[in-house]
Amino acid sequence: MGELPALETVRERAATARSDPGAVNLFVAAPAGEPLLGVERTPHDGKAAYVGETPAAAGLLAAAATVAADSERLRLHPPEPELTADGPWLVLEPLGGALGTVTLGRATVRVTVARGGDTTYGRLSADREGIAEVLAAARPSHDHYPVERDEQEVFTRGMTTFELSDVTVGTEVVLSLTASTTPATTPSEIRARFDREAVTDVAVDQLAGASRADPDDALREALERAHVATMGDYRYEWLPASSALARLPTANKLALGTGQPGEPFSVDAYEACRDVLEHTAEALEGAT
Amino acid sequence: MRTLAEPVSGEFVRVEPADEPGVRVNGIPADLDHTQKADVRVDLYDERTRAFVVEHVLGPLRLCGVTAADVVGTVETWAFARPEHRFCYSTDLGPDAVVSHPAGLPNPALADAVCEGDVRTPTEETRRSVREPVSYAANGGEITVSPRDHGTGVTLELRFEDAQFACEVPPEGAAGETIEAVTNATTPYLAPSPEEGVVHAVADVLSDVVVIGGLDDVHIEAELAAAYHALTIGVARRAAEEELVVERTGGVP
Repeated sequence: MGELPALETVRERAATARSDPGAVNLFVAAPAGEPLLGVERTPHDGKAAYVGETPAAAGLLAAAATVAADSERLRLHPPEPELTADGPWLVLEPLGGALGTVTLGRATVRVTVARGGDTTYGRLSADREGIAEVLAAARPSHDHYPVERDEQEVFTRGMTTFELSDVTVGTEVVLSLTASTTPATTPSEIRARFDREAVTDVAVDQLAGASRADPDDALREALERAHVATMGDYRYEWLPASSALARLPTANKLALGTGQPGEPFSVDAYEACRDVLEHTAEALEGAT
Repeated sequence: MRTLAEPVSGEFVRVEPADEPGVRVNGIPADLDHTQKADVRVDLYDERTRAFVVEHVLGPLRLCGVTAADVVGTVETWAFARPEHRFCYSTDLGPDAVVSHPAGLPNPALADAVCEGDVRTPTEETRRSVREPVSYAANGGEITVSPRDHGTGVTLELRFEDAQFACEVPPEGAAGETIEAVTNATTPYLAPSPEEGVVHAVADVLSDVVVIGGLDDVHIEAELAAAYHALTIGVARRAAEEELVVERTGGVP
């Protein structure tokens, strides 16, 4: 069984890591802002793993701290990163081994349905039908792909998708939905999606557009080669709008990481991430 | 060597004649050295350029008897439901890097165009086979590639779940009904039945073992399972690594 660092070791390594000026910034995204909070190291499915509230953040920090402790070309930031630091950024997120440069956008959509029917029962029945019509329009559909049972988001990750957030019934029925948007999504496309008989108005408020980072070619190449060397290949996937990558105010950034959100972070995931970072650090050191 | 007399267009790709043996996709040679990914699909890679899902072009070309061609992707619009398109957008590649049909078909329009087009007079070429049977197992599947006589082409016996399919692909191309059946069969990942999936697999196996693996005169017997490109590319790699590939020259097949 491989070795997964004790949480205290991770803390020490993270606190003592030093770097050169101009080093590549390394940041571990943690949902609660503290990667190690509520996490413990314990066997899971026969292997050492971090489990608890934010196991992936803990595992990614363990990998980052282990490598940054021995490399001056990687500067590990604390949970609240210094956003104005010079140099490119690597954001560690549980991407299942993928790389990421694209974050999805977000919009809110208010769909208004007119109330009909002359009786209380008639109005309720019309409300139900109107709501069902809107929800049917909100469900993903595709000519070729089984998107209705796409639990891994193989296809729907790249589609405009909707999640119902609120239903208000007054003189009208208003459904509020949160939309995950792609670089191809337009407000008119969203309005057309809900152009149904029962719908009287569709208001789209784009909160953030999908965006694509533009990392240094040398850094991207170093990471792709590191993935090929350690995993046999590299791949890219898009990140949700809530990703830490989206919050960094620079285009020179890239996300990577093993593990899955909310799942135990195994020693295998730790070693894979550590190996990628080690190869990357070696490539960066070789380039200076 | 068999190549087209004139360029033809299928859906999503244009195919141009070539003066050298082998197929290139967006300039990348379709061979084992340039195969970067082989599991649920096959990608070729060369100096930061990548061609995605090439098996759905390489398969129909070989089904139609074409052994030398330059394939150029022609897709101009994004289809982000496809993971490959998201990959391309992430790395600043265009959608033309993806050369496959969105419905998972081995490009029936390309097969039609190639079959209707003329081929140049075939020229003598070095053809490859294996010295002895080569077997490989991966992802729950098994495959064996066995030698055939020079110039006799490929025979396949494939099984996928409870379904099986056998056919012959001589050097001049398969029978018309075989080409039509294979190129109109959906990938097992999306196919409604294993019967359709196993017919589709003929294009994938030809792509990987025969075109990319460079084995022209072989019998292929396979029990296919999940992510079977690891199996088909794997057996071709084993044949090459264990120096079991034999080259034979002579005559125009």
